[in-house]
Amino acid sequence: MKSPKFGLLVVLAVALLPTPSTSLAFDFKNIDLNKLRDVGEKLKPLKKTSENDEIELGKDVAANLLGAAPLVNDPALQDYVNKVGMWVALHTERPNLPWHFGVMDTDTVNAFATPGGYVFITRGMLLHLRDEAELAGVLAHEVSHVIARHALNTMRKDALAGLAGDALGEYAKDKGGAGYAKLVSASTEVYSRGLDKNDEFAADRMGVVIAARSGYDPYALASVLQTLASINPKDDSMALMFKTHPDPTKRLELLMAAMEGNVDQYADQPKVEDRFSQIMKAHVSYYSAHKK
Amino acid sequence: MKSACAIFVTACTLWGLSVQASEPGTTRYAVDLMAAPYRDAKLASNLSADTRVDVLERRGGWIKITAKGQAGWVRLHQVRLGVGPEKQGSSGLSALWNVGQTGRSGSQGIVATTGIRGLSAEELKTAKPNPKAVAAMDTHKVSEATARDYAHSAGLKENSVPYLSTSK
Repeated sequence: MKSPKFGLLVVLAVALLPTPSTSLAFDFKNIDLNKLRDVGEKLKPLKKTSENDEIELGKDVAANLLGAAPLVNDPALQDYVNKVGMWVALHTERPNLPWHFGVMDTDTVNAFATPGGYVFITRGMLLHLRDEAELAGVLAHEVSHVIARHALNTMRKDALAGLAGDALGEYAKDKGGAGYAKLVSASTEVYSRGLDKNDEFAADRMGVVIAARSGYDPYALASVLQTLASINPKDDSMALMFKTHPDPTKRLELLMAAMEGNVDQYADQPKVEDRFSQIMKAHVSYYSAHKK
Repeated sequence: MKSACAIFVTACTLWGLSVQASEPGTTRYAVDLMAAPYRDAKLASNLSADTRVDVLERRGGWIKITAKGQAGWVRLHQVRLGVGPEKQGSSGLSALWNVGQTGRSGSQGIVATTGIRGLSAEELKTAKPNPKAVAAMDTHKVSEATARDYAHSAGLKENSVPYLSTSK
Protein backbone atom coordinates (compact mmCIF):
# COMPACT_ATOMS: atom_id res chain seq x y z
CA MET A 1 0.00 0.00 0.00
CA LYS A 2 1.96 2.94 -1.28
CA SER A 3 -0.67 5.66 -1.05
CA PRO A 4 -1.01 5.94 2.74
CA LYS A 5 2.76 6.15 2.99
CA PHE A 6 2.80 8.86 0.36
CA GLY A 7 0.06 10.68 2.21
CA LEU A 8 2.09 10.55 5.40
CA LEU A 9 5.17 11.82 3.60
CA VAL A 10 3.24 14.73 2.16
CA VAL A 11 2.13 15.68 5.64
CA LEU A 12 5.71 15.34 6.82
CA ALA A 13 7.06 17.34 3.94
CA VAL A 14 4.58 20.12 4.49
CA ALA A 15 5.24 20.13 8.22
CA LEU A 16 8.99 19.93 7.98
CA LEU A 17 10.27 21.66 4.91
CA PRO A 18 9.07 25.23 5.43
CA THR A 19 10.17 25.49 9.04
CA PRO A 20 12.59 22.69 9.86
CA SER A 21 14.22 24.51 12.76
CA THR A 22 11.04 25.07 14.72
CA SER A 23 10.01 21.45 14.83
CA LEU A 24 11.33 19.96 18.02
CA ALA A 25 9.02 17.00 18.12
CA PHE A 26 10.89 15.12 15.40
CA ASP A 27 13.99 13.12 15.76
CA PHE A 28 16.08 14.49 12.92
CA LYS A 29 18.64 11.73 13.21
CA ASN A 30 16.18 9.32 11.63
CA ILE A 31 14.76 11.54 8.91
CA ASP A 32 16.71 12.21 5.77
CA LEU A 33 15.75 15.71 4.68
CA ASN A 34 17.15 15.15 1.21
CA LYS A 35 14.86 12.22 0.78
CA LEU A 36 11.90 14.30 1.84
CA ARG A 37 12.83 16.98 -0.64
CA ASP A 38 13.01 14.24 -3.28
CA VAL A 39 9.48 13.17 -2.45
CA GLY A 40 8.34 16.76 -2.74
CA GLU A 41 9.86 16.91 -6.22
CA LYS A 42 8.21 13.67 -7.24
CA LEU A 43 4.83 14.90 -6.09
CA LYS A 44 5.07 18.10 -8.07
CA PRO A 45 3.14 16.67 -11.03
CA LEU A 46 0.28 15.93 -8.66
CA LYS A 47 -0.08 19.53 -7.66
CA LYS A 48 0.50 21.24 -10.96
CA THR A 49 1.36 19.73 -14.31
CA SER A 50 3.49 21.89 -16.55
CA GLU A 51 2.17 22.53 -20.04
CA ASN A 52 5.01 20.47 -21.48
CA ASP A 53 4.15 17.50 -19.25
CA GLU A 54 0.48 17.94 -20.13
CA ILE A 55 1.29 17.80 -23.85
CA GLU A 56 3.60 14.82 -23.47
CA LEU A 57 1.10 12.85 -21.40
CA GLY A 58 -1.68 13.72 -23.85
CA LYS A 59 0.37 12.56 -26.81
CA ASP A 60 1.05 9.20 -25.16
CA VAL A 61 -2.60 8.76 -24.18
CA ALA A 62 -3.49 9.58 -27.82
CA ALA A 63 -1.18 6.74 -28.89
CA ASN A 64 -3.20 4.39 -26.68
CA LEU A 65 -6.53 5.62 -28.07
CA LEU A 66 -5.23 5.08 -31.60
CA GLY A 67 -4.16 1.61 -30.53
CA ALA A 68 -7.84 0.89 -29.84
CA ALA A 69 -9.14 2.42 -33.10
CA PRO A 70 -6.94 3.61 -35.98
CA LEU A 71 -7.27 6.78 -38.02
CA VAL A 72 -9.50 6.74 -41.09
CA ASN A 73 -7.37 6.28 -44.19
CA ASP A 74 -8.60 9.37 -46.04
CA PRO A 75 -6.07 12.23 -46.11
CA ALA A 76 -8.58 14.73 -47.50
CA LEU A 77 -11.01 14.04 -44.66
CA GLN A 78 -8.26 14.33 -42.04
CA ASP A 79 -7.13 17.65 -43.56
CA TYR A 80 -10.69 18.94 -43.49
CA VAL A 81 -11.23 18.12 -39.83
CA ASN A 82 -7.91 19.77 -38.98
CA LYS A 83 -8.85 22.98 -40.80
CA VAL A 84 -12.20 23.22 -39.01
CA GLY A 85 -10.72 22.14 -35.68
CA MET A 86 -7.82 24.59 -35.79
CA TRP A 87 -10.16 27.45 -36.63
CA VAL A 88 -12.30 26.53 -33.63
CA ALA A 89 -9.26 26.18 -31.33
CA LEU A 90 -8.05 29.65 -32.33
CA HIS A 91 -11.09 31.06 -30.54
CA THR A 92 -10.10 29.79 -27.11
CA GLU A 93 -7.73 30.87 -24.36
CA ARG A 94 -5.14 28.31 -25.49
CA PRO A 95 -4.75 28.89 -29.26
CA ASN A 96 -1.06 28.01 -29.22
CA LEU A 97 -1.32 24.44 -27.97
CA PRO A 98 -0.10 21.90 -30.56
CA TRP A 99 -3.65 21.16 -31.73
CA HIS A 100 -4.11 17.97 -33.75
CA PHE A 101 -7.44 16.61 -34.98
CA GLY A 102 -8.18 13.12 -36.23
CA VAL A 103 -11.06 10.96 -37.44
CA MET A 104 -11.02 7.46 -35.95
CA ASP A 105 -12.08 4.53 -38.07
CA THR A 106 -14.87 3.07 -35.97
CA ASP A 107 -18.65 3.03 -36.20
CA THR A 108 -18.83 3.85 -32.52
CA VAL A 109 -20.43 7.29 -32.09
CA ASN A 110 -18.12 9.36 -29.92
CA ALA A 111 -15.43 12.04 -29.66
CA PHE A 112 -12.43 12.38 -27.34
CA ALA A 113 -9.72 14.85 -26.45
CA THR A 114 -6.47 14.20 -24.61
CA PRO A 115 -4.57 16.80 -22.58
CA GLY A 116 -2.47 19.18 -24.63
CA GLY A 117 -4.67 19.17 -27.72
CA TYR A 118 -5.17 15.81 -29.46
CA VAL A 119 -8.83 15.77 -30.48
CA PHE A 120 -10.63 12.81 -32.03
CA ILE A 121 -14.02 12.33 -33.60
CA THR A 122 -15.16 8.89 -34.69
CA ARG A 123 -16.32 8.19 -38.22
CA GLY A 124 -19.57 6.93 -36.70
CA MET A 125 -20.19 10.37 -35.19
CA LEU A 126 -19.14 12.23 -38.32
CA LEU A 127 -21.62 10.28 -40.44
CA HIS A 128 -24.47 11.43 -38.21
CA LEU A 129 -23.76 15.13 -38.67
CA ARG A 130 -25.75 17.43 -40.95
CA ASP A 131 -23.29 20.25 -41.61
CA GLU A 132 -19.94 21.83 -40.75
CA ALA A 133 -21.45 23.84 -37.89
CA GLU A 134 -22.35 20.53 -36.19
CA LEU A 135 -18.79 19.29 -36.72
CA ALA A 136 -17.46 22.56 -35.30
CA GLY A 137 -19.82 22.19 -32.33
CA VAL A 138 -18.57 18.69 -31.52
CA LEU A 139 -14.92 19.74 -31.91
CA ALA A 140 -15.57 22.86 -29.80
CA HIS A 141 -17.01 20.65 -27.02
CA GLU A 142 -13.81 18.54 -27.08
CA VAL A 143 -11.54 21.59 -27.33
CA SER A 144 -13.33 22.93 -24.24
CA HIS A 145 -12.34 19.82 -22.26
CA VAL A 146 -8.72 20.51 -23.23
CA ILE A 147 -8.64 24.21 -22.38
CA ALA A 148 -10.41 23.58 -19.06
CA ARG A 149 -8.06 20.60 -18.38
CA HIS A 150 -11.00 18.36 -17.50
CA ALA A 151 -9.30 15.08 -18.43
CA LEU A 152 -5.98 16.13 -16.94
CA ASN A 153 -7.61 17.02 -13.62
CA THR A 154 -9.48 13.71 -13.61
CA MET A 155 -6.21 11.85 -14.24
CA ARG A 156 -4.59 13.78 -11.41
CA LYS A 157 -7.48 13.01 -9.07
CA ASP A 158 -7.23 9.32 -9.96
CA ALA A 159 -3.52 9.39 -9.29
CA LEU A 160 -4.08 11.01 -5.91
CA ALA A 161 -6.67 8.39 -5.09
CA GLY A 162 -3.94 5.81 -5.44
CA LEU A 163 -4.76 4.34 -8.82
CA ALA A 164 -1.37 5.39 -10.13
CA GLY A 165 0.14 6.77 -6.96
CA ASP A 166 3.33 4.81 -7.27
CA ALA A 167 3.52 5.51 -10.99
CA LEU A 168 3.33 9.23 -10.40
CA GLY A 169 6.11 8.97 -7.87
CA GLU A 170 8.39 7.92 -10.69
CA TYR A 171 6.86 10.28 -13.20
CA ALA A 172 9.21 13.19 -12.69
CA LYS A 173 12.44 11.25 -12.70
CA ASP A 174 11.82 8.59 -15.31
CA LYS A 175 9.48 9.42 -18.15
CA GLY A 176 10.50 6.42 -20.22
CA GLY A 177 10.19 3.98 -17.32
CA ALA A 178 7.61 1.46 -16.21
CA GLY A 179 6.09 3.92 -13.74
CA TYR A 180 5.34 6.37 -16.50
CA ALA A 181 3.87 3.63 -18.70
CA LYS A 182 1.52 2.80 -15.84
CA LEU A 183 0.51 6.43 -15.55
CA VAL A 184 -0.28 6.60 -19.28
CA SER A 185 -2.37 3.46 -19.13
CA ALA A 186 -4.23 4.64 -16.02
CA SER A 187 -4.84 7.96 -17.77
CA THR A 188 -6.21 6.15 -20.82
CA GLU A 189 -8.75 4.46 -18.57
CA VAL A 190 -10.34 7.84 -17.97
CA TYR A 191 -11.77 7.46 -21.51
CA SER A 192 -13.50 4.20 -20.67
CA ARG A 193 -15.01 5.60 -17.47
CA GLY A 194 -15.73 9.15 -18.58
CA LEU A 195 -15.38 12.55 -16.98
CA ASP A 196 -17.51 14.07 -14.27
CA LYS A 197 -20.95 14.87 -15.68
CA ASN A 198 -20.56 18.51 -14.71
CA ASP A 199 -17.45 18.68 -16.91
CA GLU A 200 -19.60 17.45 -19.81
CA PHE A 201 -22.30 20.05 -19.16
CA ALA A 202 -19.60 22.73 -18.88
CA ALA A 203 -17.99 21.65 -22.17
CA ASP A 204 -21.42 21.89 -23.88
CA ARG A 205 -21.87 25.45 -22.61
CA MET A 206 -18.32 26.45 -23.57
CA GLY A 207 -18.51 24.66 -26.91
CA VAL A 208 -21.49 26.63 -28.20
CA VAL A 209 -19.76 29.90 -27.31
CA ILE A 210 -16.53 28.87 -29.05
CA ALA A 211 -18.58 27.88 -32.12
CA ALA A 212 -20.34 31.28 -32.05
CA ARG A 213 -16.97 33.04 -31.78
CA SER A 214 -15.81 31.04 -34.80
CA GLY A 215 -18.76 32.32 -36.83
CA TYR A 216 -20.93 29.17 -36.84
CA ASP A 217 -24.54 28.75 -35.77
CA PRO A 218 -24.03 27.90 -32.07
CA TYR A 219 -27.22 25.84 -31.94
CA ALA A 220 -25.60 23.18 -34.13
CA LEU A 221 -24.25 21.39 -31.03
CA ALA A 222 -27.80 21.31 -29.66
CA SER A 223 -28.91 19.68 -32.91
CA VAL A 224 -26.19 17.04 -32.48
CA LEU A 225 -27.44 16.29 -28.96
CA GLN A 226 -30.95 15.97 -30.39
CA THR A 227 -29.59 13.47 -32.93
CA LEU A 228 -27.72 11.50 -30.24
CA ALA A 229 -30.92 11.35 -28.18
CA SER A 230 -32.65 9.74 -31.16
CA ILE A 231 -30.27 6.78 -31.43
CA ASN A 232 -31.31 3.67 -29.57
CA PRO A 233 -29.18 3.60 -26.39
CA LYS A 234 -29.01 -0.18 -26.74
CA ASP A 235 -27.24 0.15 -30.08
CA ASP A 236 -23.63 -1.11 -29.91
CA SER A 237 -22.36 2.07 -31.46
CA MET A 238 -23.71 4.08 -28.51
CA ALA A 239 -22.52 1.85 -25.63
CA LEU A 240 -19.35 3.79 -24.80
CA MET A 241 -21.03 7.19 -25.25
CA PHE A 242 -23.84 6.31 -22.85
CA LYS A 243 -21.41 4.78 -20.36
CA THR A 244 -19.22 7.89 -20.30
CA HIS A 245 -21.66 10.79 -20.81
CA PRO A 246 -24.86 12.06 -19.21
CA ASP A 247 -28.13 11.37 -21.07
CA PRO A 248 -28.15 13.48 -24.27
CA THR A 249 -31.71 14.64 -23.64
CA LYS A 250 -30.66 16.00 -20.25
CA ARG A 251 -27.63 17.67 -21.86
CA LEU A 252 -29.85 19.20 -24.53
CA GLU A 253 -32.29 20.63 -21.98
CA LEU A 254 -29.56 22.14 -19.81
CA LEU A 255 -27.77 23.56 -22.84
CA MET A 256 -30.91 25.12 -24.32
CA ALA A 257 -31.70 26.71 -20.95
CA ALA A 258 -28.18 28.13 -20.66
CA MET A 259 -28.27 29.49 -24.23
CA GLU A 260 -31.73 31.03 -23.91
CA GLY A 261 -31.53 34.76 -24.65
CA ASN A 262 -27.72 34.79 -24.60
CA VAL A 263 -26.58 33.79 -28.09
CA ASP A 264 -29.64 34.45 -30.23
CA GLN A 265 -27.85 37.19 -32.19
CA TYR A 266 -25.54 34.46 -33.58
CA ALA A 267 -28.26 31.95 -34.43
CA ASP A 268 -28.34 32.94 -38.09
CA GLN A 269 -24.61 32.42 -38.58
CA PRO A 270 -23.64 29.92 -41.31
CA LYS A 271 -24.04 26.18 -40.94
CA VAL A 272 -21.81 25.57 -44.00
CA GLU A 273 -23.85 22.70 -45.37
CA ASP A 274 -22.56 22.57 -48.94
CA ARG A 275 -18.87 22.23 -48.17
CA PHE A 276 -19.59 19.59 -45.54
CA SER A 277 -21.81 17.65 -47.89
CA GLN A 278 -19.20 17.70 -50.67
CA ILE A 279 -16.42 16.53 -48.35
CA MET A 280 -18.58 13.73 -46.97
CA LYS A 281 -19.68 12.60 -50.41
CA ALA A 282 -16.04 12.43 -51.51
CA HIS A 283 -15.17 10.60 -48.30
CA VAL A 284 -17.86 7.97 -48.67
CA SER A 285 -16.68 7.05 -52.17
CA TYR A 286 -12.97 7.18 -51.22
CA TYR A 287 -13.64 5.03 -48.16
CA SER A 288 -15.51 2.33 -50.03
CA ALA A 289 -12.88 2.31 -52.80
CA HIS A 290 -10.03 1.85 -50.31
CA LYS A 291 -11.71 -0.59 -47.99
CA LYS A 292 -10.18 -4.03 -48.05
CA MET B 1 -22.46 -8.49 -44.75
CA LYS B 2 -24.55 -8.30 -47.91
CA SER B 3 -27.22 -6.10 -46.41
CA ALA B 4 -24.55 -3.83 -44.93
CA CYS B 5 -23.05 -3.36 -48.36
CA ALA B 6 -26.46 -2.58 -49.74
CA ILE B 7 -27.00 0.06 -47.10
CA PHE B 8 -23.60 1.49 -47.82
CA VAL B 9 -24.18 1.71 -51.55
CA THR B 10 -27.50 3.40 -50.89
CA ALA B 11 -25.73 5.92 -48.69
CA CYS B 12 -23.17 6.58 -51.42
CA THR B 13 -25.82 7.07 -54.05
CA LEU B 14 -28.13 9.29 -52.10
CA TRP B 15 -25.69 11.41 -50.15
CA GLY B 16 -26.46 15.07 -50.63
CA LEU B 17 -29.39 14.32 -52.87
CA SER B 18 -31.84 15.88 -50.47
CA VAL B 19 -30.12 16.98 -47.31
CA GLN B 20 -32.97 19.40 -46.65
CA ALA B 21 -35.57 16.62 -46.64
CA SER B 22 -37.72 16.35 -43.57
CA GLU B 23 -36.90 14.17 -40.58
CA PRO B 24 -39.63 12.42 -38.61
CA GLY B 25 -40.04 13.29 -34.96
CA THR B 26 -42.43 13.20 -32.01
CA THR B 27 -43.40 15.96 -29.59
CA ARG B 28 -41.95 15.25 -26.14
CA TYR B 29 -44.80 17.08 -24.40
CA ALA B 30 -47.65 19.46 -25.28
CA VAL B 31 -46.14 22.35 -27.26
CA ASP B 32 -47.16 25.72 -28.70
CA LEU B 33 -46.72 25.91 -32.45
CA MET B 34 -45.48 29.44 -33.28
CA ALA B 35 -46.07 31.24 -36.59
CA ALA B 36 -42.43 32.40 -36.73
CA PRO B 37 -39.16 31.37 -35.02
CA TYR B 38 -39.43 33.96 -32.26
CA ARG B 39 -40.55 33.89 -28.64
CA ASP B 40 -43.10 36.66 -29.17
CA ALA B 41 -44.37 35.36 -32.50
CA LYS B 42 -48.06 34.71 -33.05
CA LEU B 43 -49.32 31.40 -31.72
CA ALA B 44 -50.24 29.26 -34.73
CA SER B 45 -51.64 26.26 -32.91
CA ASN B 46 -50.73 23.74 -30.28
CA LEU B 47 -49.91 20.06 -30.34
CA SER B 48 -50.41 17.46 -27.67
CA ALA B 49 -47.65 15.22 -26.35
CA ASP B 50 -46.49 12.34 -28.55
CA THR B 51 -47.75 13.91 -31.77
CA ARG B 52 -45.97 12.57 -34.83
CA VAL B 53 -44.35 15.49 -36.70
CA ASP B 54 -42.01 16.15 -39.61
CA VAL B 55 -39.06 18.46 -39.07
CA LEU B 56 -38.69 20.63 -42.20
CA GLU B 57 -36.10 23.22 -41.28
CA ARG B 58 -33.68 24.26 -38.54
CA ARG B 59 -33.02 27.88 -37.67
CA GLY B 60 -30.91 28.50 -34.59
CA GLY B 61 -32.73 27.01 -31.62
CA TRP B 62 -35.97 26.65 -33.59
CA ILE B 63 -37.24 23.91 -35.86
CA LYS B 64 -40.06 24.20 -38.36
CA ILE B 65 -42.42 21.27 -38.14
CA THR B 66 -45.61 20.08 -39.76
CA ALA B 67 -48.21 17.94 -38.08
CA LYS B 68 -51.82 17.21 -38.85
CA GLY B 69 -51.83 19.63 -41.75
CA GLN B 70 -50.43 22.52 -39.71
CA ALA B 71 -46.98 24.06 -39.86
CA GLY B 72 -45.12 26.16 -37.31
CA TRP B 73 -42.03 26.61 -35.19
CA VAL B 74 -41.04 25.01 -31.86
CA ARG B 75 -37.80 24.99 -29.84
CA LEU B 76 -35.65 22.10 -30.99
CA HIS B 77 -35.55 20.29 -27.64
CA GLN B 78 -39.34 20.03 -27.65
CA VAL B 79 -39.23 17.34 -30.31
CA ARG B 80 -37.37 14.05 -30.18
CA LEU B 81 -36.26 12.71 -33.51
CA GLY B 82 -37.62 9.35 -34.55
CA VAL B 83 -40.99 7.79 -34.06
CA GLY B 84 -42.22 5.96 -31.00
CA PRO B 85 -42.06 6.17 -27.23
CA GLU B 86 -39.29 8.00 -25.38
CA LYS B 87 -36.14 6.06 -24.48
CA GLN B 88 -36.66 3.57 -27.25
CA GLY B 89 -34.61 5.55 -29.70
CA SER B 90 -34.49 4.95 -33.40
CA SER B 91 -34.95 1.49 -34.78
CA GLY B 92 -33.04 -0.02 -37.63
CA LEU B 93 -35.87 1.09 -39.85
CA SER B 94 -35.57 4.75 -39.06
CA ALA B 95 -31.82 4.42 -39.59
CA LEU B 96 -32.59 3.20 -43.08
CA TRP B 97 -34.94 6.11 -43.46
CA ASN B 98 -32.08 8.47 -42.70
CA VAL B 99 -29.93 6.89 -45.35
CA GLY B 100 -32.59 7.22 -47.98
CA GLN B 101 -34.09 10.58 -47.13
CA THR B 102 -31.38 12.82 -45.78
CA GLY B 103 -28.19 11.34 -47.10
CA ARG B 104 -27.04 10.82 -43.53
CA SER B 105 -25.57 7.38 -43.27
CA GLY B 106 -27.53 5.93 -40.39
CA SER B 107 -24.36 4.12 -39.44
CA GLN B 108 -26.17 2.40 -36.60
CA GLY B 109 -27.88 0.33 -39.26
CA ILE B 110 -24.53 -0.80 -40.56
CA VAL B 111 -23.28 -1.70 -37.11
CA ALA B 112 -26.36 -3.74 -36.39
CA THR B 113 -25.76 -5.98 -39.38
CA THR B 114 -21.99 -6.33 -39.59
CA GLY B 115 -20.12 -5.84 -36.37
CA ILE B 116 -17.60 -3.60 -38.13
CA ARG B 117 -14.94 -2.61 -35.66
CA GLY B 118 -16.33 -0.88 -32.60
CA LEU B 119 -14.65 0.89 -29.73
CA SER B 120 -15.53 -0.43 -26.31
CA ALA B 121 -14.39 0.39 -22.80
CA GLU B 122 -12.61 -2.97 -22.76
CA GLU B 123 -10.72 -2.18 -25.98
CA LEU B 124 -9.59 1.11 -24.52
CA LYS B 125 -8.27 -0.67 -21.44
CA THR B 126 -6.29 -3.27 -23.35
CA ALA B 127 -5.11 -1.07 -26.23
CA LYS B 128 -1.45 -1.26 -27.22
CA PRO B 129 0.01 2.17 -27.97
CA ASN B 130 0.32 3.20 -31.60
CA PRO B 131 2.84 6.08 -31.62
CA LYS B 132 3.20 5.86 -35.41
CA ALA B 133 -0.45 6.84 -35.84
CA VAL B 134 0.08 9.83 -33.56
CA ALA B 135 3.11 10.89 -35.61
CA ALA B 136 1.02 10.55 -38.78
CA MET B 137 -1.36 13.18 -37.41
CA ASP B 138 1.45 15.74 -37.80
CA THR B 139 1.11 15.48 -41.57
CA HIS B 140 -2.45 16.82 -41.36
CA LYS B 141 -1.79 19.57 -38.86
CA VAL B 142 -2.64 22.97 -40.35
CA SER B 143 -1.28 26.44 -39.65
CA GLU B 144 -3.33 29.28 -38.23
CA ALA B 145 -3.17 31.04 -41.62
CA THR B 146 -4.53 27.99 -43.46
CA ALA B 147 -7.37 27.63 -40.95
CA ARG B 148 -8.24 31.33 -41.30
CA ASP B 149 -8.28 31.25 -45.09
CA TYR B 150 -10.43 28.14 -45.11
CA ALA B 151 -12.91 29.66 -42.63
CA HIS B 152 -13.14 32.93 -44.53
CA SER B 153 -13.76 31.10 -47.79
CA ALA B 154 -16.96 29.75 -46.24
CA GLY B 155 -18.01 33.21 -45.06
CA LEU B 156 -17.30 32.59 -41.38
CA LYS B 157 -16.79 35.78 -39.38
CA GLU B 158 -15.27 35.96 -35.90
CA ASN B 159 -17.09 37.40 -32.91
CA SER B 160 -16.22 38.19 -29.35
CA VAL B 161 -18.66 36.19 -27.23
CA PRO B 162 -18.45 35.76 -23.43
CA TYR B 163 -18.89 32.29 -21.89
CA LEU B 164 -22.34 31.43 -20.57
CA SER B 165 -22.91 31.59 -16.85
CA THR B 166 -23.71 28.41 -14.94
CA SER B 167 -26.46 30.02 -12.90
CA LYS B 168 -29.13 29.46 -15.54
